[in-house]
Amino acid sequence: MFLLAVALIVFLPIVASMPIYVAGIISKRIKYLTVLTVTIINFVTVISLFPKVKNHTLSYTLHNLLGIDISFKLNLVAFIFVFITSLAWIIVIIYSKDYVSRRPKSKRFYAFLMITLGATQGVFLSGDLLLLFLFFELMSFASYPLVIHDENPGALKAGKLYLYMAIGGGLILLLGIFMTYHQFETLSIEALSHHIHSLDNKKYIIASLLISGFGVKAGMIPLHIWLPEAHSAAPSPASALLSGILIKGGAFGILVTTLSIFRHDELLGMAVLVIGTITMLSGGLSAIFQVNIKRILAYSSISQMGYILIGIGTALYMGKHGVVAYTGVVYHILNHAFFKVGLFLGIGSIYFRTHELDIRKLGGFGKLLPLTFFVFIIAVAGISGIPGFNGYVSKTLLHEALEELVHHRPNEYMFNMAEKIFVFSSGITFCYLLKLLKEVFLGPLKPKKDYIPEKALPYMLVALGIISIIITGIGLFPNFFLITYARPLLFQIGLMVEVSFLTSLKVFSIHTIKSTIKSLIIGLALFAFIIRFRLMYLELPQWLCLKNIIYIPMVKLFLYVFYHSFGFLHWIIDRSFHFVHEIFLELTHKASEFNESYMSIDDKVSTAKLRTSESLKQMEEKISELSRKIGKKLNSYITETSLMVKNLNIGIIILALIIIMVILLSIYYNNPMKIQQE
Amino acid sequence: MQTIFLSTSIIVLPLIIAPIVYFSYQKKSSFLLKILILCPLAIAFLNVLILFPIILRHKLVAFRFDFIFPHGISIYINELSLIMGFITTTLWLLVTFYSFDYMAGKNNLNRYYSFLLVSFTGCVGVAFAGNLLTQFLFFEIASLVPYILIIHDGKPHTITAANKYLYMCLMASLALFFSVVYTYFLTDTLEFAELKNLAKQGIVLPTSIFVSFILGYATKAGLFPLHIWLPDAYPVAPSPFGSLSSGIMIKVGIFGIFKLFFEIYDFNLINQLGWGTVLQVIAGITILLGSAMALNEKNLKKLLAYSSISQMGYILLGTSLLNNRALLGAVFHLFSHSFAKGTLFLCAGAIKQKTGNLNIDNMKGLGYKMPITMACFTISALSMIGIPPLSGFVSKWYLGLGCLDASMPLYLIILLVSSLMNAIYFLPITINAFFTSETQKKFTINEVPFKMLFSIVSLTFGTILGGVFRTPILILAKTAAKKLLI
Repeated sequence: MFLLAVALIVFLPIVASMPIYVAGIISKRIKYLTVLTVTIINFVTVISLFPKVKNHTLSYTLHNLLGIDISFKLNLVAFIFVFITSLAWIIVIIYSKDYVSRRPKSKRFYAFLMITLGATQGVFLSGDLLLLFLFFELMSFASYPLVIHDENPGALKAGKLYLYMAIGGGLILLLGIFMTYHQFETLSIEALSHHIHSLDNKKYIIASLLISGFGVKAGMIPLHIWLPEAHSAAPSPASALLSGILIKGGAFGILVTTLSIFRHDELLGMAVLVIGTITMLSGGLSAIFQVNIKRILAYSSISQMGYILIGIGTALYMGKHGVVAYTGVVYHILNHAFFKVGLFLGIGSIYFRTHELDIRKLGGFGKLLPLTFFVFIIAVAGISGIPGFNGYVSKTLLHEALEELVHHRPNEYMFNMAEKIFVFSSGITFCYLLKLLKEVFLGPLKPKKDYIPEKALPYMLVALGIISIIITGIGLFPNFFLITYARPLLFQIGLMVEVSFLTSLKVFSIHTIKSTIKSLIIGLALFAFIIRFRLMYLELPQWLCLKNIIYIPMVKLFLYVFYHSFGFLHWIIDRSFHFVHEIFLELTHKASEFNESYMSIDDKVSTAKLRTSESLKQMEEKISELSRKIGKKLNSYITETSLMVKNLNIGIIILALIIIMVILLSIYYNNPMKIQQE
Repeated sequence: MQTIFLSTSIIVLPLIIAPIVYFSYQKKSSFLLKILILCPLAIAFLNVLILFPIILRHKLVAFRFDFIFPHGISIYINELSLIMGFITTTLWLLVTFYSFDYMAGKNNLNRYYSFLLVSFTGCVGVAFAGNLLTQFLFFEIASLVPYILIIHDGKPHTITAANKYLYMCLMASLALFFSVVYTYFLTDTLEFAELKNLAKQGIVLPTSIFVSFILGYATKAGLFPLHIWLPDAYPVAPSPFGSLSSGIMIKVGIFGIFKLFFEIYDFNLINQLGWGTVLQVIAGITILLGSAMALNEKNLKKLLAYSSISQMGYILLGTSLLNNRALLGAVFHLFSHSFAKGTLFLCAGAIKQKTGNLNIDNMKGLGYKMPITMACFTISALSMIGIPPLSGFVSKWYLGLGCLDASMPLYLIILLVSSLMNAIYFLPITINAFFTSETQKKFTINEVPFKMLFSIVSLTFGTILGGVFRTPILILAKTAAKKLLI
């Protein structure tokens, strides 16, 4: 039964991609309906699994595939990922009806969208690291055509970076998996969680390899460099999925490594927390200094991943006490998916009309597209954590968890710091989104053109409407999620809590609203500062970009040294062979010359003898003739050998040589029966 | 008796058919002759398939014809030989089938096909040989006869490149001859089984024998520093030769190294004397050198040649680490590399035939002209990089674990760096073929003829099957690795 569900969720989209491509050649409508059907089947199957997953973990092991046993597994942790994936896919597919279907290459877009869907669901459904790795790689490769969909030079360049980073990250991950398997002879996540703490320091090497492998996909600083490029190069529906869902593939990997396998480890928790803080802060700061809308949103994704990492770090540090942090993490993963998809799709509606992403050249779309503006404001409210919208709940939970950590370890200065940065970063988030809102939606309309009215593209509006309903729904009824999902989840992963704990958790208390207001004020102050000092269009200089000052020179230097050192080695060997070869040819040449001169002396002697004796003349003549013949034959033989190369029928000579060798051998061993019979 | 008949017919039939082909093949006639050419190969393929269940039941085939050749022709088939025999027959059958379309209209086809058959005997003979002298005989055939295939078009630069191959092969055979003679002088026997017994009893052959064996086999296998003939010979030879050579002929050298390590010497001793370490270093250099040289290469066939060098390094590494899983990876890599690289060379031939050049910069938009060929190219390239679930991943998986088992994580990092390099030089070709803006996006399908396509597709299919399922090949490889290390 579970296997059937896996087949429907993972393999049906992958298999369906080919018929979809073919159907696209015949009829656009059939293609679109197939895509929609597959996605809806996916969603329905996922929903129907929920009652079962709530009771116990589903798993299925396939033996003898890929060299070792592989297993699919679905527990409540993975369920939230599977759920957001299938829901976000439906929204994006609906949106794409207007966005992509009217453009060329839509066949390829939908086909690869389906493969990516299957691969992403596969990542979340894997029960062991090898299967996870397999789907992870498939996800990277299948999303590549989505990134470079527009096929302009910029997109191709970004795609290349994306692909190489994905492969590089995959190899780091593989290194970690190799070490894990070598230590434990198993890759099953369940089994690893029992054994991992039997290792001493080696487990930290394994953990850092796995986390940095997944971190490349998750946009963890300093491995994020591909993310702003790729997310801004892709068409909007694809960017929405890349930023909202695929990035969660990396987050899921980190979650599995830390919270499912390690469960409780203070050192690792601290490390993840620190990386998360850095990611959150620098992602947010970079987002302020961008002028490309999609880059702002991409850096925002990096920053939001920082929030998730902070939650993971806290939960890992607290172990059994990390209930709030754990809840915050899954909640934020759910929320981020929807508001980020909403933001990207909202921007997509503008890009679709203007083909412009530079905020300096945009403005005034609020009047032109009021509904889009409305949805965009809701998404911004969601991501900034304004009470009543979804982001508020998860951010509050994460903040609560951090405060709990500070209480737990009051002497650790670092945690205090992290809590302050958290509040500050929330302010930054609010600030760059205000900037985006003001520049794109307010002010006079520019560029001035006749745009397609909003009502002409109903599918886009439907998609945006669904998102705004989800965002406000979660925001107004936060306890629904906590009771139906979070409580059974916490039971399932063994964090024992009283039934009343989560319901009694006051999301809307004076204390929590105070800290939210604090960050909103910080955001407003920053925004006022930016407007006052006209820093709106300030861009980060190119040389400050981590990619340009570290990665590219490093890779270039490595490749240069690598290629040239081995090239030199190869060249030396090749030349020395040629040298020996030429000496050899020269020697054969000399030998034939010597033979000729010897023959001419021989001729002279024989003629002299011819004069002196008449009686011997005839005999001498015969002998000299004979010797000349032999000499000539020898000569021609030697020249032939040296020119053997030009003779095409050389094969026969070689065969003759072999035969001669064989005969010689058989003469040498005149006693062939020496060996005893077996 | 049945097995004797089966294995003899694999070796002898091509030799009988070859002269008939040589004297009767003409351009025009020849539907029947084509079938005649395929016959011995198809029979060999079937025979290998029949041998599979026999060997899987842990029975070995061993017998000897004493009435010819000094010491007789001794045949010995175990798991390793059967894997070698399987990839040889499969690849040869498909490549010959491919050649019917690829070589159509060229000159001297009688010579080409007859010597193709003779070199098949050589390669399969090395795999099935039961004593050193038999192996030497077939090794000579397998290294000298392909010369005729390389110089097929007879142009001057072809001949200079081919000469390099010829001279190096001659040196290799001299080295091998020395060690074979010396071994016999010291031990009075040439049978592998007896040599193994002697090695087990602690009788060590001198280092000079080992070194000259390695020199002989490494030349054939294209290992550093004797790899220099490969990048010169491949671009000038016809593509089917590239496929066979990279897929099988250079593996003949590696196969010799397998025999040397585990049947002539005692592998524990190789480890103790430090020869294993030396070979590991050579393997590491070979891997990195091949990858590095392929990075800036523009000629597709030359690129594939460098890539082959690097992949031979993988196998040598797996062999010289001398533990179970590394050895399993090495044996399985024989299979996965020969299928993947065979496909890549056949695709290169298809591209050459359709576009007339092999510069990888000129392949933009080729995916819209030759979708099937380029799709197979991509799958095989991904297998070379080691992306699951293709068979390249399985071998890399065991090789990597072997590196850790031998507590040599450095070599694992080398493997992964090389994988990254593979990605850097293979993927741009695919990207150019499918995802460039400069061509129009209409399918104007101009695929190669059916026979070529059939071979390419079936080899790709093998690559996928070998990666996903636990094929008999993997089971055989496991048994082989276990038995070699006894």
